[in-house]
Amino acid sequence: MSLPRFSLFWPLLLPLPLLADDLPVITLRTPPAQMKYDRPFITASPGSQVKLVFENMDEMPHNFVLCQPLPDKNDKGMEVAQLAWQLGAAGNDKGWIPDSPRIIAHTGLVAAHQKQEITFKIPEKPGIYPYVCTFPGHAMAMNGELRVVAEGPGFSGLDYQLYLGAWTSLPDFGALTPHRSGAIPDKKIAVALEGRTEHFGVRYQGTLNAPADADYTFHLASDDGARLSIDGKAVINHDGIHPSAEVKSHPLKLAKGPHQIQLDYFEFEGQEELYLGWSSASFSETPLSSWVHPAYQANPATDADSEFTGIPLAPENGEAILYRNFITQTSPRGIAIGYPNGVNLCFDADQMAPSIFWEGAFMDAKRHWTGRGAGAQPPLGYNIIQPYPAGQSLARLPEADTPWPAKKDRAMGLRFRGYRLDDKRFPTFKYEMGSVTVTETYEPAGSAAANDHRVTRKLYFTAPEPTDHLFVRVAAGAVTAEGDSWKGPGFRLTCEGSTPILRGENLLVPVVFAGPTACVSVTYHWNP
Amino acid sequence: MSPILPLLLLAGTALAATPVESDYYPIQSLPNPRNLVLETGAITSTPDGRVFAATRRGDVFLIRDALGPDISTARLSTYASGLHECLGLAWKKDALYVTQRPEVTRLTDENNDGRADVFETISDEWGINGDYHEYAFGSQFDTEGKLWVALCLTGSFTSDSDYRGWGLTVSPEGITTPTVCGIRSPGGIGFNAQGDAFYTDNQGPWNGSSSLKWMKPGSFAGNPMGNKWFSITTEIGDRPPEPHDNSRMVKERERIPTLVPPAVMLPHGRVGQSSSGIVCDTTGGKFGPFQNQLFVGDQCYSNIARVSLEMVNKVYQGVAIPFVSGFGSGPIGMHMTPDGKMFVGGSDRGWGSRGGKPWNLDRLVWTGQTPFEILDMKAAPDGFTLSFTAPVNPETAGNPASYAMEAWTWAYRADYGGPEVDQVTPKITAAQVSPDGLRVKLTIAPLTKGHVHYLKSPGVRSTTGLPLLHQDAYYTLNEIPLKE
Repeated sequence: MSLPRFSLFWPLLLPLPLLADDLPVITLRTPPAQMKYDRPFITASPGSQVKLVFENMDEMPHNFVLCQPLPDKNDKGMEVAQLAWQLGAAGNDKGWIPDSPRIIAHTGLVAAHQKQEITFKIPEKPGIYPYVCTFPGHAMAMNGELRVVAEGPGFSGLDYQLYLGAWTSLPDFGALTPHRSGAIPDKKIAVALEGRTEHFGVRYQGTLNAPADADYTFHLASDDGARLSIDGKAVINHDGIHPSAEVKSHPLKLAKGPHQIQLDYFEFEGQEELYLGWSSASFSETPLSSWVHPAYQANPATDADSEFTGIPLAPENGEAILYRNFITQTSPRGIAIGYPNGVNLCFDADQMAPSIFWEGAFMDAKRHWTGRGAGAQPPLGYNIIQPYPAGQSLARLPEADTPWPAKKDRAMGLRFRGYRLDDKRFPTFKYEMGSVTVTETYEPAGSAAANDHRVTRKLYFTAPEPTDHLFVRVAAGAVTAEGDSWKGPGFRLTCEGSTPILRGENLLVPVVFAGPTACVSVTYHWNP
Repeated sequence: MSPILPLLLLAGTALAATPVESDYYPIQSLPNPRNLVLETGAITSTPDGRVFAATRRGDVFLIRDALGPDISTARLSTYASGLHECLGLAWKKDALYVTQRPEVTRLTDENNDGRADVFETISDEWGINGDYHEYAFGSQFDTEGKLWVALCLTGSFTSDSDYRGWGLTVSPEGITTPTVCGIRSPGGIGFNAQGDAFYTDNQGPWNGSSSLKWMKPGSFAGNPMGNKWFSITTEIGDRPPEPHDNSRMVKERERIPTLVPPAVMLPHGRVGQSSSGIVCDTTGGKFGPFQNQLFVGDQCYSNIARVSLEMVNKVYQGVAIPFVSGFGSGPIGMHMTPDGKMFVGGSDRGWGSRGGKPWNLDRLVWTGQTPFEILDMKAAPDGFTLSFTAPVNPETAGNPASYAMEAWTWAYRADYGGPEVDQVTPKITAAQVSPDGLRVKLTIAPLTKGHVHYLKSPGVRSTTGLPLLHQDAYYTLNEIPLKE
């Protein structure tokens, strides 16, 4: 084989698109709102020069970073991605490409609905090379593998003899007169000779050149029976009527040079399929038949339960996604929400307050959805904002020096009443504090591409009569005023329609009733 | 592939001589063309024939057209997502009530698009601290219109959050009442035909074996770890005295007035290993001959046992008999529709099951053929009375040698589980068949109060020569009836 080949599920049969410069092309896309590449793996021949067309069809920016594998395990590029995340604020300018000797090739950061082409050389060494999006938070879901596969030689010549008859086991073809015989031009074993589908048999005879004195393994699957002989000796006998599901494999030492292969096959009725392949230490399983067994296509095996594989959850169809579970930095009654524009937060239904906000990917459910599901899970995304320490966000402070209530397992005097989803599945939470009913909504805005992600928290209060001394804590700790904004670690905060006051460590918004209702609106911006 | 294989399968069916469970109760899997993850924790249905299944992953699936003769017409759609380990489902007045780890939630579909849009928290008056084992199992509504919730201990050993190890009742308005204490690690909750609540509790500290326990209001179910919460409620009176370690249930019942013994032991390693869902057949015969009996799942053994209860000296007791085995995964959620179809779903995640599959959602139907079974086993002052689903051959059933019995109990102790102890071999001295052949009175001595009495009936034949489909029956003799 002179040309490298690439495909997703059908590595050998698809014609390759060739451009004017004659380089084989790999096209890799990112489907909208799915946080993944469209191809979980790509197959290529060692040492070939290729062109990658990377097409970002998503609303978020993505890249493609091809990595050297780790010697002992497939980390799916996570180590390189984590180096990228450590770039922090400088990351965006570098396209989230860290300095790492593991990087073989990469695109830049490709904005939403943009395309980029790169040319690079496939590694000489066969193996599995992870590729990954290093944009913060994406790697666990957005990864794949480049399978560099060396292939063995095919037949140097292949003849067939077709026999007709309704056998239920292999006959002695040598004692029968063939209906037709000849050479197979593409030198691949094919069942559909004369388009027959039942009551026939074929003897294939060909020459295979073993590249070295070595151990080889032959792989045979057939519907119905087949027998493989090499240099006159039966190697695999899978006679009788059966489906092709089982692949029979047999090892064999071969001397360097040509060997005579004979494959006898018969088809009674129903489906007809025949697969023959071979492999060795120096090349991976190489089909010698035009039909390729599904078991071969699934090869090489990947470890789906690897520590680097997650169950990433993502918003779909422009709707928000909810995930109630144990979330880090949140009490046990956590309700995480992922919005379609890449803004996420967790509402703490023990404290009646948002606990954290973050950008990028939503949640990885693997911790809770495999095994018994122990422990709390951190967000899958990046730039986590925690505006104040875990605890309640609404309290009555009758005196100017009344301290903010200490954190308890559950906020004192507050009662969770549930939520309502709108037509985009955005939740509005409801809770009560005595006779005061609070509904709370979030309005996500901005995009990662424009670097202006923000989310507005809106609280509506209703009460039979105005309630005094009620405050909403919107930030705490290192918060400083800056014009109309307040700056905290990793965020900027604006209040709409009211002026927050700094009381001790806490930035508080007074709840001012106009008749039976009141409203508080606060916006958290990621970009300071 | 040739067409010979299907012919061979047909021939195999025709040759079957000895009846098997699926001749009477075949397991039919719901179609799942989209490969949805159906780790079923709870199932319920509506008066208009919709079925709902909720999962450990927090999805609620709406299943339409699941009650027809052909299961392949059933269609699944996602009704709600993002909930937290759903282990209870009930329907009342156009709303679905989900018991999930943190709360009981009422789901309604206001815009009628087939997906819930309002999620009202009805009760969250119990604690969770982030421990995965703090499960909450929810029932259907009882005859008074209340839901029952059984709360697992923290890590299944301690009680580190409010009401862990308790059973609560919740009204649709959210009035939450602590009702029972002494729970360890529940696997399901349901009602008998009289409307009394029962839950299954799993082998562990203070539980020598898995069992079915009566949630008698005000009672203590046996595990004292959750009794610390008498400090925050007076609803069921005073904290019961601590049970003595390494004692016997019969002994401690004399010391602790509110201690209610397990109604039916489900002997560990014999009937199952991890008891789960509970349903009662109140369909008036649409599910076969076992009217008003309970069916109890086992998550580990992938099977269901049949339980018949009676009340003796104000305490429930009764018999457990294997019923149907061979579910694809470990049954957890179970429900019977009024037309007599039992839905059974489960998961093997975190706790393996014999079925071997990660989840299942199946329907169990009665073919209309009556299996030859022990219909019921009742305690008598001097033995047991058996009834059968079909007339017995009097020669076999009237011969005491057709039967054998062993009896034992378990230590009542703080250590995990424990072996069968205090073995007794009761002697069957007479077997008297009723004129209609449907009953046999076994005269047995000695009977031991508090022991499981395990009856084997290998010699019994029906009038048509069939052996019993299940020859083993395990009777928990909490009380010996007095002579009339």
